[in-house]
Amino acid sequence: MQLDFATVFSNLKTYIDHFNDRQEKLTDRINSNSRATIELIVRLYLKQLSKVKENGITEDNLPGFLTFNTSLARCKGCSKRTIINHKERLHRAGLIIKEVRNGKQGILVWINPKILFNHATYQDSQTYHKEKYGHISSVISSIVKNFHPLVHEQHEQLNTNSNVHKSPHYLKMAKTFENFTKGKKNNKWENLNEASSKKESQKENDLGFYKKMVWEFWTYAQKILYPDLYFSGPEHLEVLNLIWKSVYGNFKEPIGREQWVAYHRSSLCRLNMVRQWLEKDNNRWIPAPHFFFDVANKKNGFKNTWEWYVRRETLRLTLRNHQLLKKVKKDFAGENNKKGYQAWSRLQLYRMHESRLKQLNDGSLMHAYYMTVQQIIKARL
Amino acid sequence: MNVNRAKALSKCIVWFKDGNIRTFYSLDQRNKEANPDQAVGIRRLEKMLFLTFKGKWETAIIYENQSTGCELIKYRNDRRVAAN
Repeated sequence: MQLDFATVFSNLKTYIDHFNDRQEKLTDRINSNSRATIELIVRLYLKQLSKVKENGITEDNLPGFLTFNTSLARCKGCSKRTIINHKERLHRAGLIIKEVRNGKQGILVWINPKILFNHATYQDSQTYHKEKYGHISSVISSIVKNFHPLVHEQHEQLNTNSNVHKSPHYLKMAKTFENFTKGKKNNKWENLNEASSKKESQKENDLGFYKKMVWEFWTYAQKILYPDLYFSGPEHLEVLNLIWKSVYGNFKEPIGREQWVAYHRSSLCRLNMVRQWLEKDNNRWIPAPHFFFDVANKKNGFKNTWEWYVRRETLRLTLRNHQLLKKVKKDFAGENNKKGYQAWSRLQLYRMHESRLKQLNDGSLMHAYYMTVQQIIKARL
Repeated sequence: MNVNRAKALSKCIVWFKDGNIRTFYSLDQRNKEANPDQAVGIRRLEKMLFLTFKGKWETAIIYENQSTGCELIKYRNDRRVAAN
């Protein structure tokens, strides 16, 4: 008897489909991996049978499939244990009827002859469904697109996490923010009824204000420094706490809200500086946020950017002062023709510039201004 | 230190390339006396994926270790992707 590859594989498919349909539990079904294993076994078995004389093969006198677990595992690209597990499952399903282990000489596997000899007289899955569920199933199946699952359906079902795929990312972020703003459960200002005194309500307001600042800082940092990374809720919380500690120093400094806002702006500037520093060279990198914002990180942490910021601000102020003093010199020399400064006396010019520069609240600038005026007068005399 | 499944705050289900599926539980304490920190556990699971099982897995998902725990992080082909 001649065995046809196409017939055997269509029989196998029909058998497995029908078997799976009959199983109530998903765990009892033959999954795609086991299906691949039996297909491999059948393919190799048919190859082995093709070497035997045609007349020698009968349904009653079928030779077993001689193989090794290790060779099957190597062929399929999985472990030996996986092959053994698959064989057990296939045996339960009736696809493998017998197995004889011969130690070092390998194993002999007998496959269900119904598959090989076209005796798989089961209904195909579509007819089976029609009979079982009527026309409704066909309507549903036509509407619902059969997406290939990310993982095997069976294992998805095994997972007991019921609300998976139900909470979108922005909701999680909102939840994290809520947790962060609430803080620990034993916060004394959490219970609004007890926080009756003005002091406590003030504290509560301040806490909300600080937490909002920290949240804003982290959102901005995430946007410009880690645009391609995704963070989970616990990681968000951890980084927020680190920022609270390292960047804002637990808000222990006794300064007002306006000063805190000014500091917050400077911190955002520092983030921009880090971004600019990264853009200058592709080989530059910063560590992960839990390390970058860590208080103990002295090597490549965010703390070090304070020096950059101070240096930049100093340079900016120096340049500004230089420009202002240059203008003063021009006015005193009578080079500035605008607004009729030439007609002004030296005292008038002195008073005008003095009042203007005083508005900037810079002691060093004022000192430099007085020195410049002195130099100009000395030079004239 | 042994991992206590009941006390673990998160778990990681890994779909290996050879067809195996395994669940790993997080170790959330920095030391014996420390308070559990879920972020530490998640980082350790991530380290396991990228160092111990490097190149051996296709998909990995980290969940909260609760009966109704939600998905925290998803990895696909050695990359962290947006969780659902």
